[in-house]
Amino acid sequence: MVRLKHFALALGLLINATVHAVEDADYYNILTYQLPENVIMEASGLAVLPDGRLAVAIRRGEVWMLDHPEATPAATENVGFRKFASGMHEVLGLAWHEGALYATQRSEITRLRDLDGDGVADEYATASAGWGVSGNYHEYAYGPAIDKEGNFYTSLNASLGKGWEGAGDEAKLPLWRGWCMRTVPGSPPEPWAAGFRSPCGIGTDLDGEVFVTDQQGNWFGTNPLLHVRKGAFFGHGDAVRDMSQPNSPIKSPGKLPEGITTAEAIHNVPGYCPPAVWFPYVKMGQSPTGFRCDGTDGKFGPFAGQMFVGEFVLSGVNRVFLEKIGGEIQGACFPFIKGLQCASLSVNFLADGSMVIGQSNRGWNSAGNRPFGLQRIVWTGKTPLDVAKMQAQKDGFKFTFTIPIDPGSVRAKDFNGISYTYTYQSKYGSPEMDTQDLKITAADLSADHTMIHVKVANLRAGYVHEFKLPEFKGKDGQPLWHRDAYYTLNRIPAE
Amino acid sequence: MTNVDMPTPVIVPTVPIRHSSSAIRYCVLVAAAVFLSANPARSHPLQAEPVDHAHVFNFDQFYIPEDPDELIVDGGMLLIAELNCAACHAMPDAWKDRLPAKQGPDLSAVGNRLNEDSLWRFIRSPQSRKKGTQMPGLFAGEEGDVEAVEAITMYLSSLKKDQPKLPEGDAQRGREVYHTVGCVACHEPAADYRPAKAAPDTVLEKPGLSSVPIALADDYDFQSLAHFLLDPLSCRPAGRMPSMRLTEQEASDIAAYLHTGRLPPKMDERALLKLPPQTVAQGREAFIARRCTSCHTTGEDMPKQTAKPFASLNASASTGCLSGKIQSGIPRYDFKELQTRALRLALQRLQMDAPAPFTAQQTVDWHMMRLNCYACHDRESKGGPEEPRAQYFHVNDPGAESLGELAHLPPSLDRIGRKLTRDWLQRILWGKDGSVRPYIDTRMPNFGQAQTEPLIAPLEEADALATPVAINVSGLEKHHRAESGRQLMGATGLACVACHGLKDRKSLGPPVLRLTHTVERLRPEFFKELLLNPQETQPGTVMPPLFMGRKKADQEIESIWTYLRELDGQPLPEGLLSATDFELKPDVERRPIVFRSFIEDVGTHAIGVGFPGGLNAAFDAKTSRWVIIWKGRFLDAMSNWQERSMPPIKPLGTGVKKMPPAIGMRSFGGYRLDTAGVPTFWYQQDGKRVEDTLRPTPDGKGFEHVLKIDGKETKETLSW
Repeated sequence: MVRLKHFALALGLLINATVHAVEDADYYNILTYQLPENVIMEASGLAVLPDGRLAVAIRRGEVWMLDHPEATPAATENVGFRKFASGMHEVLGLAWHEGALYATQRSEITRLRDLDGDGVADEYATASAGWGVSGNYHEYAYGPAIDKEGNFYTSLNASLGKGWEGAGDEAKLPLWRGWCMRTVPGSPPEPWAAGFRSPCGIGTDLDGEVFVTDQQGNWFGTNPLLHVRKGAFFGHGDAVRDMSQPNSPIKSPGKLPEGITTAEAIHNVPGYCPPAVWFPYVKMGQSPTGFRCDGTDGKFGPFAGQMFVGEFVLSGVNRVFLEKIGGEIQGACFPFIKGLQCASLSVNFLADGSMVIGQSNRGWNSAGNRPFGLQRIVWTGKTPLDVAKMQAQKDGFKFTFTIPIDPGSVRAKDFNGISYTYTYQSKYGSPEMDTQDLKITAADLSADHTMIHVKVANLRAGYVHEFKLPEFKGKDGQPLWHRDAYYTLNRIPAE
Repeated sequence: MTNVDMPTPVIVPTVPIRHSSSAIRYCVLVAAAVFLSANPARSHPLQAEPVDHAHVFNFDQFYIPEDPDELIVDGGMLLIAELNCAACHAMPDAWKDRLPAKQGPDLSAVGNRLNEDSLWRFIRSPQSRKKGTQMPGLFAGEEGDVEAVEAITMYLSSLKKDQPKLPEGDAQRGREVYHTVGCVACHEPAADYRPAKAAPDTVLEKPGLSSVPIALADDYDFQSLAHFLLDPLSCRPAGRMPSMRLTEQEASDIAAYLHTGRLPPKMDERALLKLPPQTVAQGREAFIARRCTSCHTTGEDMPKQTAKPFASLNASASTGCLSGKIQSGIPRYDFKELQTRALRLALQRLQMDAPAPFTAQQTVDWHMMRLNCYACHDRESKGGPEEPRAQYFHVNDPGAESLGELAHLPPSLDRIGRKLTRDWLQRILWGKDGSVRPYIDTRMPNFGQAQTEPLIAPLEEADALATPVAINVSGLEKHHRAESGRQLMGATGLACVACHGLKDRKSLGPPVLRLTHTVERLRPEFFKELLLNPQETQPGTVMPPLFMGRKKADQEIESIWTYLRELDGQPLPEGLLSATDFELKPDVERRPIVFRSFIEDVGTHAIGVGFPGGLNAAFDAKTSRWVIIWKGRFLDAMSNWQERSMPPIKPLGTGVKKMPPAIGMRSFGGYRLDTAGVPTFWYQQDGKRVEDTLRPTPDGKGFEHVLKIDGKETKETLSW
């Protein structure tokens, strides 16, 4: 059934929920796909085909083809569901590349093709295999992300526990767990970046740069968005063992320090790369998952090019703005939508510019009350007043808004913010550390009323800078949609 | 005391319950009942001992002459409400909300229901045609009365509507339905019907409380009676006759049963009067003039004639409805003495004071009295079916017998306002479903939204706890995982499934209610309150105190809530889960099934292949070879599809045979399925392409192993 879902109800349940003066449904409608009976659509991967069809990978190892994913109402008979492939081992990612689907199973990337044209895959070819699988249940494999050159990337969950003795040699020494592998087509996978914990989202930005979302836990004080490059080490200790392998692109940092802050780790841990964005725990959810950048050229609203990150526990989607400072990518995260029917696991955009969310909450908790499903988020055409961009300045931050704001509602004294970092440790998670109030000295509105330059006297490199924006209004009177903004200021611009 | 009839043991209150009439009446009538039940001529419900006064069930149930005036006055209020005095007499402003007019039967299709003669007899003297009716007589036989009755008869006979035809009824089935779905909570059971529960060789007790009369049923046209039974609210919007949620067939069957009690036709007095013919228009005029429109609707707008307002009525007047002498045009109810006393007291109260404000519970009680909820349910130690009627509340599942009254009788309504969600209350009271006790034959009637909506908010208010039980159902906590709840509910957890079924599966033990709709039905706070302390929360429940002393009770209850919230799409708890729920069955699919998993003896890169006919094999994608073959059942996908820890799976069948180790250096390539779904694996072996297929031999006793190396084919047969 197609349903217009109102978020106000779900908001009441959320800890730390922002009070919304307007309902999300004013700007974005949520449509729920009616699923074929008895299909457990735990949608872990979404690939949009050039002809507009949507391929959905499910955790039960199947791929389903939706002939008309944009159909409204999204009743099964309108959408047209067909099982395309089955029998795979927990598929946690799906991509379309050069005429074929690529699904990542526990132990390989598999190319799926329908050779006889009957609409069902009849060839399951191994496109990449060779990482260790000890049989420990945490050893999820995610992907593939595909860069501009056509190389494949797979993010491998750390083992986080003992293997199964039936796995043979791999039971004790499963290789490359907690690593990201790159596969050049036709070659075996090569270790590429390391230090992941549970890297359950992997994808690219519109430039083809590879990113991974990871999970709060040991070595991660909160949830990060990591910019994957060859040789990058993101801090999780379990990946260090395999740095002694001859083909490791990373030199072992030796024994990792404990109890310093992540801001300090940037300087003290050899090779450590800080996340491009930290998602402050609880405030921005508890578990980022799959993501996708908005390449719809405005069909999804005023956030073209930005990254939309699934959020598992809140059953929602967050938004990320990225910029390059001093040659490194960093940026800010903002809430976008909460209150979906189930945990978000995968995100993609359909040809019409609407967003589709694959969902499953098996094995973990989430605010949604359905065990699995598919939903679509469709822009209503009304532009919300929201932060479009949050850019770091040498003396503060420049907030650019989606529409001009009412100048009467902007006063420097109404701006509040704090900055903090996290502890880098082998223990689980971290509270916010070394918190300071931001000293805000000015909030200058641009002449066109779309940008506010907030001057902060005590910027700290390596710290998250959190703002609770004042409740100002757009020039048309509409209130600010989201007031929360979190910038991960690894580097302060020189100019 | 009706306490003995309660579905659950209740602590006897220190203040005696004010109603005592049923007990007293009951004792007096037992002897009569014994006599009557032995008389086969009186066996049909239509032939029940007639009531000799305007019958208001709960007035008779809860008031006796021995009661003091300060109690009886409340009974008078009930009579004023139920006999609809406010329809003609304007209430003092202060009482308008307390005692609103009640809508009488809609007559827009009355011409279908009753023929002219039946209408005439009933209008002329309701009490003589249907003793105990709440319809007052308006014609005392004075001048002009006979013409008016005849004219109104003509008018009402003209009110007809097309109605779809309902099926033929079966009186025998109707008799069964009548005595099992709950009709006899208010109406008379047949003296010759023995409920299954009644012990043999005992004399069937006759109800002590008088029954709501149905003496007009046999005059009804069969089709109209069936329609009325199917949807009583459409012609009686006041809900005093609720919908029993009958099917069309059941409605016809009961109608057929009620027709078996038809009385022999009476001598036609009407014809003997030899009146000049009256027109429909004259009848319509008389219908308005005689104030019929105060209570009745006919589908067209008609003026309403009012009578004296309440403020100017004289309780002790020598004429009027409370006096001994009732003139034409004054409603005649055939009050019994206690009713007259109650009405006089109530009238005086109305004229003197504004009503004392009701507490929420008093409001609930008031509505439960008016709608006669007490016929089936008890609340605050009041009401519940009397013993002779309770024996008709029957279970259809022998497994529920051992639960005693808990299973047989409708539930107590104590705490119901904080137990059920608003949505579920609405479903029960005016919706289509809401029943969760399939083992009870008795149905919860539908009283209609208009009548029961005023009950809901007061129920919630009356039953609210000052400090509600705290439960976190946000889904944000780590223990808010369906799987944790599923395991707790399972046979090796807290074993909720020992008594509770889910979805289409019965419990392992007694069939207490299934938990399928728990989260739509129960408020989470009550769910927790009940689980933490079942006896305190629902006295008499058989639910054991499973969570007492458990350190993580709060979390566990929230986990179970999460599971129940996500039930649709989740596997069932252990115990209810059939061993084959996740089994992969090539015989059912009629195609080979390829299934990749961790498989014992094969490893973490195993690909199982099961063929119809019970031949199975597993290929290792790491060493590129067949590792085991076996017969019989294939594999269980539970580990892959449900369990978070994903343990390796074992072949389910027998005769597991290991295959010889691989030779040469091999590198796995993948597999292709042929049109029948049989996979051919390919790999590189020392630089050569190998295609490797296992398929059952034509006799189905073994495998044919086909190897194609660089295009050169070899075959072998594997039998074991």
